Amino acid sequence: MQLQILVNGLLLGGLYGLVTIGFSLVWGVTNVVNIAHSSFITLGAYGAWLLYSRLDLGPFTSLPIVMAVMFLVGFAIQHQVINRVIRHGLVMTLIITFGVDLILTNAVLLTFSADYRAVKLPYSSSGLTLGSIQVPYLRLSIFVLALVIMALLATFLSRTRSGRAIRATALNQEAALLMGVTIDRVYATTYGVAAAIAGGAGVLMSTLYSFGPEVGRGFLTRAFVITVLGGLGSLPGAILGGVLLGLIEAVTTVSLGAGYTEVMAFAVLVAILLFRPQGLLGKRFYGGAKS
Amino acid sequence: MFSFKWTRTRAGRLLATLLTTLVAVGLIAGCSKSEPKPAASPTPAPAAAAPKTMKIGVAVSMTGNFSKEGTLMKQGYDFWAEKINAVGGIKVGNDTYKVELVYYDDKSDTTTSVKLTEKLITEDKVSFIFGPYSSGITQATSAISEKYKIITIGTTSNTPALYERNFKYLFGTLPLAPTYLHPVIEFAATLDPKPKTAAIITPDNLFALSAAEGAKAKVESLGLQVVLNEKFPMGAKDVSSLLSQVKAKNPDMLLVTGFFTDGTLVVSQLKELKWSPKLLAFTISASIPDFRKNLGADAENVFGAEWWLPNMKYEDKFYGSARKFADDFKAKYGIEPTYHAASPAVSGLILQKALEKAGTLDSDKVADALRSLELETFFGKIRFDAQGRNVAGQPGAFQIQKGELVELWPKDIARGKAVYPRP
Repeated sequence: MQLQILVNGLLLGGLYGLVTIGFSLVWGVTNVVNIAHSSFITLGAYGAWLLYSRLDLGPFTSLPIVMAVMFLVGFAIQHQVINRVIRHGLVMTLIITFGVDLILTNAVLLTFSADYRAVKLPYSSSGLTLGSIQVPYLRLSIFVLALVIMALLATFLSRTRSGRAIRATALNQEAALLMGVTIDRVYATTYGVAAAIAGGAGVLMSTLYSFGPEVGRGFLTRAFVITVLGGLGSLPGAILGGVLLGLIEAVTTVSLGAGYTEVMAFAVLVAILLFRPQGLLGKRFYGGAKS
Repeated sequence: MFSFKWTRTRAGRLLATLLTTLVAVGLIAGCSKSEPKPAASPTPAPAAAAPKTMKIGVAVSMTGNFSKEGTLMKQGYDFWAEKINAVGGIKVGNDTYKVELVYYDDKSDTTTSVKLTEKLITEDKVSFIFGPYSSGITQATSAISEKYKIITIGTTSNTPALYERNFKYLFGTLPLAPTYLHPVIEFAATLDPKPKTAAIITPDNLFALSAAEGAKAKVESLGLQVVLNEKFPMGAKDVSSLLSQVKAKNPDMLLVTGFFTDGTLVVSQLKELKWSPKLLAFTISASIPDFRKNLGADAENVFGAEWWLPNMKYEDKFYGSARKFADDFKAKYGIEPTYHAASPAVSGLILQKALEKAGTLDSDKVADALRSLELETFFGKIRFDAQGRNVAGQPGAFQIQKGELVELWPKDIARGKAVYPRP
């Protein structure tokens, strides 16, 4: 049973990691705590549901489509809305992303009603059986996807021009400006990428849960904790932090009781801030070199 | 245009101010459209003796965690309001009052609901309050209505703690929460072979915990052993570790006293773990149609208990039989009603009877009238005790068989046989 618990925690951690990567990236690069992140997850889930119910597309087929659309949506929102407020400081960006979140969530509510949807596939709850351990396929694929996305994103950030521009902006905005980087476009691209990944997480989540317009909301606090845990702006940190949190939650369920998982999550947050505020894999002041 | 250089001139600034004002006004106007307006009750055409209107306030969860249940409640209230207005309204003494329901969305949040209840009473000046969704929220909002001496009829609020405060203006239509799974447990005890062990899991919420306590007491009183009794956080996205623990204990019965999202989560995660107890029972979620729709075949043979089901053999003169109410409701809204809609609908009927008896809108007299009522309705029997509890009602147990709800207990409403153990 212990091994099953660990597997559960690991797989849950994969989901957490996937949800957090984009959030951490945006925070690290643009210094925006993106409260609207949860609504991107929601949009991804509904996108997957729409494509499944109208065009019979499975989640893995609709994944690239939804991610592409979400990139455009995120790019547009950042460029037109959030960019205008960014120079006014953290509080304003909090307020505006909160507003964006409200608008998007309520738009979803109006369009789709509060009815719960699900993408039910024939293989929805089946999985591998390794001895006495059950490993559900969908959760495993989320874990794998998280790793794949992390690798792709890392490649993007180090090998492509846009990616390097993003890293440059995060390290030193003024120097990047001097090098001819269009900061606005960098910010928008980062945000778009984050939205795309969140949308991807949403697509896969549509197969796991009966979801309503608020499905993303429950993940925001976790994303916050994991970002701090793993280190601001660090991609491996997001995954590692996610996995760690998943494991902590799983073990807490067994040792202290399932009611304490939230308590533990925030206890971890406090501990990290006390003892290693840059997070496990974060560098001090990464992304903080602007005001 | 977006570098705003044109605002550097006087004319430019003027234009900018004008545009901003227009946009702001437009937004406010647009927002106030989505702001709560009185529900669309049929506006009375100018009648011979211009009927008066009585306002009833409802702060209910139209968004948030409880949006599903809240929407069903609103439909139930609307259903009653339309029906009563169609026959001219409620006769109170020498006047006839049309009913106007004033709605606000409390976003499934207690603090918001409390503020909205205060707003309904102080600003909208409603005469009565129909309850919000869930005991937790009703506990808070009823404290406000009690302060202002306005009657609240709680339609989905049945945690015992609410009725232990000596409130004079609170009434609840549902039997108390601890009895929720009693019919399932009582039924299980009649099965052969009789189940020996039970596990109970519950989200951390006033209602759910109360139902779990009642279930535990009943299970133990019938000689079964409770092998696991755990809480998990409200709105949890993953209970696989908890369920792994349950699986390890291998109980005959698993009782889950949660809400809709918990129910669907547990069923799919149990399937992932490739284990099921012989008897799986839920409060609330099992009777909601989306449960069967979203889970498909996985929902088969799940047990549930309900305060009311369309095929229960109850009836009254206003709505007809439970079945007729359900059919009329379905004709209007396209879905079968659950108790979330039926309880609100009956609350209107109860209020109407009390008003007719009291002959006035005065809260004290209406409260006394409510306490003196003994009704048989399509929802079941209604009789309030001194604290406002409906002591005449009782829930019924059912099982999902081939996508249908089949009532199994109490015996006088039983319609079929159980499939046990769960294949």
